[in-house]
Amino acid sequence: MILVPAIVVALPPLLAAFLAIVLYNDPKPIKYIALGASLISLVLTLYLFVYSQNTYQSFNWFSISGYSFGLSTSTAPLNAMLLLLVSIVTPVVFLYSIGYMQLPSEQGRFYSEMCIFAAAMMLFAISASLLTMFIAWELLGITSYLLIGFYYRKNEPPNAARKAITTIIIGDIAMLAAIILILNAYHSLEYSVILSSPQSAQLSLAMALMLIAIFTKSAQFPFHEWLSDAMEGPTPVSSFLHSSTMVKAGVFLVIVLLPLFQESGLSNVILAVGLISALIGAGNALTERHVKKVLAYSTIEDLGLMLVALGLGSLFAAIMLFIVQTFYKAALFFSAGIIIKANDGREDLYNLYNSAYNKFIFALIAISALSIAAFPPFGGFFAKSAIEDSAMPNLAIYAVLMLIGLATSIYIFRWLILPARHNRAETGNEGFISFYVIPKSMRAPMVIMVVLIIASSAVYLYLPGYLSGIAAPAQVNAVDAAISTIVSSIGIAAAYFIYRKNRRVYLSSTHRYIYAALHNSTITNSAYVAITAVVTYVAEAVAKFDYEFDKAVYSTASYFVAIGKAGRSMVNGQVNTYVLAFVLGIAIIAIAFLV
Amino acid sequence: MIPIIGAMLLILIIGLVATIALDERHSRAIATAASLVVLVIVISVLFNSLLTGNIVHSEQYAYYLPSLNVAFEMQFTPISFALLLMASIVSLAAIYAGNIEKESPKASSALLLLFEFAAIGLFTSANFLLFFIFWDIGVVVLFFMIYLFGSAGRKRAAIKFLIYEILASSLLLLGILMIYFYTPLHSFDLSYIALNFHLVSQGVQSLIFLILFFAFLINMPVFPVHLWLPDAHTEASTQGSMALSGILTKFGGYGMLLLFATIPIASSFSYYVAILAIISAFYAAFVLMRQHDIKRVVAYTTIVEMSIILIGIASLDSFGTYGAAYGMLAHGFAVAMLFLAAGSVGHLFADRDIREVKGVITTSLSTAYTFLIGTFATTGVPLTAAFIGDILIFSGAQSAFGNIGLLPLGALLITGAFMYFVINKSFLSAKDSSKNVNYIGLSQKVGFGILMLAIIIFGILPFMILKLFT
Amino acid sequence: MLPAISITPVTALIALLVLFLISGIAAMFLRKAKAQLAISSIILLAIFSVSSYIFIHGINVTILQVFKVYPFSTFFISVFSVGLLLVNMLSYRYSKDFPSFSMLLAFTASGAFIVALSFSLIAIIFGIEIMALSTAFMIIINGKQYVEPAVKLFVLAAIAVAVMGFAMALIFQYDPQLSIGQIPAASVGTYFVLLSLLLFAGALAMEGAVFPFNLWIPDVYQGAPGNVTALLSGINKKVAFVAMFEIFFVLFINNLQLLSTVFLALSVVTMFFGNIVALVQENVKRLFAYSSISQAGYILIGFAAASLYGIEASAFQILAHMLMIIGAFAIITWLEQKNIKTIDDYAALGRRSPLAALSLTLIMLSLIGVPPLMGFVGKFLLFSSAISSGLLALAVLAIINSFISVYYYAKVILSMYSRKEAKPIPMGWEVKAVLLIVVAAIILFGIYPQPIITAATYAGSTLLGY
Repeated sequence: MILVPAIVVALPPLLAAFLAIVLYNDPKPIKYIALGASLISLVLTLYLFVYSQNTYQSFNWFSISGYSFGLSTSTAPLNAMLLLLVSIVTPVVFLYSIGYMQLPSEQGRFYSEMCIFAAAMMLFAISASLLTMFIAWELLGITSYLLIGFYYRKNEPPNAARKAITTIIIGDIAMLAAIILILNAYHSLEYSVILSSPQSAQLSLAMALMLIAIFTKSAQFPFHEWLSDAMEGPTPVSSFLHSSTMVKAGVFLVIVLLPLFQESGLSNVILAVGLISALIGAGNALTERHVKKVLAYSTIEDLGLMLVALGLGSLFAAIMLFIVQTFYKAALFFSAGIIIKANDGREDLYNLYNSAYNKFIFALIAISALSIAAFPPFGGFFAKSAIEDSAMPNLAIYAVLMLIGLATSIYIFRWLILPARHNRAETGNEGFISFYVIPKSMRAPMVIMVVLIIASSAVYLYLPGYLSGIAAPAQVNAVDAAISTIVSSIGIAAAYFIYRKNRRVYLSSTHRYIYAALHNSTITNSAYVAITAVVTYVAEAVAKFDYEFDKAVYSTASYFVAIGKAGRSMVNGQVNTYVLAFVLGIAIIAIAFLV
Repeated sequence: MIPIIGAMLLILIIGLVATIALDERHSRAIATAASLVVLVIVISVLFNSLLTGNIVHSEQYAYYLPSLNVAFEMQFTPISFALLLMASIVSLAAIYAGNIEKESPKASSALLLLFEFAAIGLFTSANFLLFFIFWDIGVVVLFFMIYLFGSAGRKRAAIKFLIYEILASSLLLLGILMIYFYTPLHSFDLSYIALNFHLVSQGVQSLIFLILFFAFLINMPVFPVHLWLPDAHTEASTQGSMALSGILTKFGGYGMLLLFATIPIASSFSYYVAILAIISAFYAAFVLMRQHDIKRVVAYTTIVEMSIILIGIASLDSFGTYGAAYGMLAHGFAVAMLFLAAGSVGHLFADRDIREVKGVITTSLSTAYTFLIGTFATTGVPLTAAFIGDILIFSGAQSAFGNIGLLPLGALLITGAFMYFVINKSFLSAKDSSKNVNYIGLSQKVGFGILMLAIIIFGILPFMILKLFT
Repeated sequence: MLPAISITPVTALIALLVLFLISGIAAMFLRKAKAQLAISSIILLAIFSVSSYIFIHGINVTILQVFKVYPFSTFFISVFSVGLLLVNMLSYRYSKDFPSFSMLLAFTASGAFIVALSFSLIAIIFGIEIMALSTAFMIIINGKQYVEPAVKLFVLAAIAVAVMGFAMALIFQYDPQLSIGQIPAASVGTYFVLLSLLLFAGALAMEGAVFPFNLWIPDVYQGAPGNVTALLSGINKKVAFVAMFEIFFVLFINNLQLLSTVFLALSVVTMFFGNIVALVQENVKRLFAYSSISQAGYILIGFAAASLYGIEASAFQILAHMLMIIGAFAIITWLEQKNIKTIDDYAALGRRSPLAALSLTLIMLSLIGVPPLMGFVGKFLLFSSAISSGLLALAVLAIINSFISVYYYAKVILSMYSRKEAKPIPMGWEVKAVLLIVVAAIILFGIYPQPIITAATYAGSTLLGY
């Protein structure tokens, strides 16, 4: 077969982005172009997956002083896996967008940014060097920034976008620093070279910096708060961003470079941050009222769990969750979008109704929820059980994971049950709840995703073979599976018990302290504000100094003027003064002679 | 060999004369044409050199000062050619699109052509005397640009600019005179000096280094001699700002490169220079956070960027040096974009205060996105030229100074965060009232396009320039 | 070389010089202003051509042991004839009584040429005296209010001449012919010679506007009519420098080391005085008076360098400054008539008369030393001559001074280009012509200074007797 450079998969979306800019004022065909491009990418990906596995390619981008910076791509199993995930999710999301993004004036901007976003993630997936990775990494950051602030006419999105980019840029700078440290230490940016070289003294620092970048990208403590605000973006963006792109980039990098993190002694950091983030995510998801933010916190939790697995060294479990999470999170966001759209744009869980009106869609949503709640036999069950299994030796961690699992089932069923109520009080007038308005292009992606969720259970069987030589397969222990299932069931039952039949339980009013402990996003936000205030305070001081400094420099000119005035007084118009000056001058020269 | 450099300078002078002589209506067209022809020449030289793999080219004309054995000698070197390319593109954009305020087209076009003349002359000078001459022409022309077309506070800003810059050029003059007389065979010739300056005693070298260092430092500008820049930008017209930050600050940067390449003693100062650059970067980044005028914000980013470029130069590492050159090329485009966008905002809203201006995107999409891409370029996002500069500079700085060489990244972080704050506050936000008073024309959009294209082309195809360096 | 061939141009030159004097005296009686302008201009052009011819051919002839026609003198005759031509043109309109002015100008010119040609101390003193006297009268003929500056000029010039006479007497025993030949080396250290040198330095410093002998300059410059100020600063002061060349680089050549130190000190104080006091001036004419004082300080750098290179640099700067200052005073004279005197009055000159504003701007940039104008080349040569003679500190101080000077020149420029609505001011052709010549010269010789530098070097080398 013909050897296709892996980089071509990113080209169709890029081309589509370009076309979207060209067709800015005539947006009708853009959505189809984008969808078509993503399908071409999918076909190319499948081609690569089948015929060009494990191929490494490198293009010399530029070279200087004898060192060449190469853009390297690889279709090694891990890369191919992520590429496949991205390529599968992209057309589905674009399909969903056709139904969701109906304002023509928005489409040019939306699709151009989305296509670059997708292309960047594809490039990220196949990158085999830090340079290639970093290009994709930054493009992901800026496009997600643009997409989060997409609805600039509203008040909140610009602030959310700002929060996101401020966090992201911290990561970008840390990543750049890490890359430079690695470049100077190893004289190479290729993953393969770095992984096979003996450890350098700079490695720990570089990996620590890279970890910061990863935490910002994957929304881990203490950089997690941007992700819940990122819900201000359009829902297709959320589903894309949370499932296969952006946030996954960070975790994927840990997966790829795990040996380096382990060498640098950062495993425990990864584990601790993962656990904290998972707890924070679960706690906030339990208490959050915004329909999409619950899912956002749940993503933080999921990513935290992946990091826990990686911190524990269980690559297999992490990859398993990595794959499964893609599908159920995409499906959940699709459903959130459907519910929001059906409820006339409202987003408060307590203010959404009748999601069970269409039983078919509700069933699809429920399957997604069961998957995230780790209920067998869906993919989430295998993945999360595998992680819990890897934590078995350490009971404390195991217990925390169980607690998180319980919380997950509760919040996801809370999320499922609350909007499923019938609206008695408000039915009739404003915004009649109607699932009829949901276009087919939004329903079909749900179906596709749920099929994938169900199919992803099979990953558990297929993955050990695929990852042979990379990660040792984790066997889900029967006892653990049982415990996991029981915990999940308890959670579901509890959620049903608390929120059944139009009960409006507000934890915030009934259990204030518990609420405050769980809903800690406000604390994080105040911490951000405090840090900003400190930096601003320093800036204020420096700016004041700058101002005074300027004034001081300016006023030195007045000394010259003062001397000038003194000199001017010598010239007083009197001839005798001048003659005196003449005599004095002669005397001075005479003195100069003697000296 | 064809006297390319002489031809370029001659075309600019012919353009200048035609601009002055002919009717005001044609001024901008003539100036644009002259500038465009020069750009075409530059690009054809670039392509030719890509084919032959060689850029080095020199021309010699009549003697200027026979008693000092100084001739009109012009040359291309890889680094100066990169800056020359940048200057010709930025000049074209400034001449064609920069006159948003609709100041007298004749005077502004003529001054810009003269400035382009100075810039091209400076970057092609083969000896320090010509370098100085073109430097001073550039400074004086920009003084008039600021004063003639500036806003209300232009008088103070212009004289401040002039005093700082003339201080720099006085030091420069002193420095090059000392170089001349202390070089064994009395020469201004750049390559001769670079080869022979190690014969000069350490003390004299240090003295000359410090004199020239401060001259270039003022021009770059870097803390603590940066004070002229924000004021000059606040008051200057858009064209003035584009030329000022885009090109004039590169005079100092290029001079600094020459200085570190020429004077061997520079290596013993490089550590202190790096410390100064780091302080300057953070200082400017913090001051930037408390600015409200968009142009002032952008002005302080220039200081941050030039500090970063300084650390690259000081590293004396080939990555750092070439990175600094590439960084200057990138920064020229980026800052010209930002100022063109900032000028457009000023024109659209009759205001540039970020607390007042809201929703630029709803009024002018192109302005908003230009500012955005300019910000990307400032923060070193890949696929903009700035990324190549940044990675090379910091790689050089890290290998020369250890991990403290990476500290300016922190300043870049603050700068970037604040720039995005500005974008979300003023550019990509909702418009609160119908305050916009004007519209921007097609020529501004073309200007945005030229600069955007430049920054992306040199971001995606950096080898075009970097190939020349090796 | 046949005498007939070599003598002819020299004879022609002398004849022309005499003719110029006669034409001036004749004008006094004929009182035909326009004709006199034409005749004097033609004669001055002829003098310029002939002396340049003699210069190029390197003719070297001594006449009566009093005058010496050699490249150094012909260089300055050419230079001064250009300056006189410009002043003459300017004065046509702005002198109250042009025929009388013409006569006085002819005497002044004679003085200048005599100094340039002199091979004798007597001739120098005579030349300087005749210049001072006729210039003083030039001031007076414009009206009663001009008596004060004229008297100041006269009195102080008289003192200078008297001092010089005494100084001359002191070295009579070593130089009985009072010629400008080198005095015997044996006498170098004697008190007579040293005192004589001291007094010459003082007197010529007074003539050449060197601090602290120059305090009268601003009063006289400001008090005198603009065209006379142009003459004073453009020609009279420069003639003093020519005299200094002749006396210090030929007569006292053996005391050069000492003289270098003296000139260094004088140069530094003069530059600082001129520049710093100029900072606080509001009247443009007075500002330029101080500016020309500071320029005198720059010219002295070449003397301090005490080398052929220094002479070359000073000679170049003498020419450059003569052109620039005459151009500047042409504008000042013209505006003075319209009662535009202070920096504030100059507001919006850029709109009222673009040519004047542009010319004055270029002249001031040249005075600052901005390349590629003639003033830059002059300053560059001066500074480098200082460094090449090992006087790095002097070069540093000079550069500091040219930095300080930026401020007051910029003040004028800023005022001229301020945005104020104002009516245009018409400009006479005389001023226009002067400005065009000056601006063309400072640009041309700024970009291509080679001919002037070569000529100045040649003139300097013949002065030193190479």
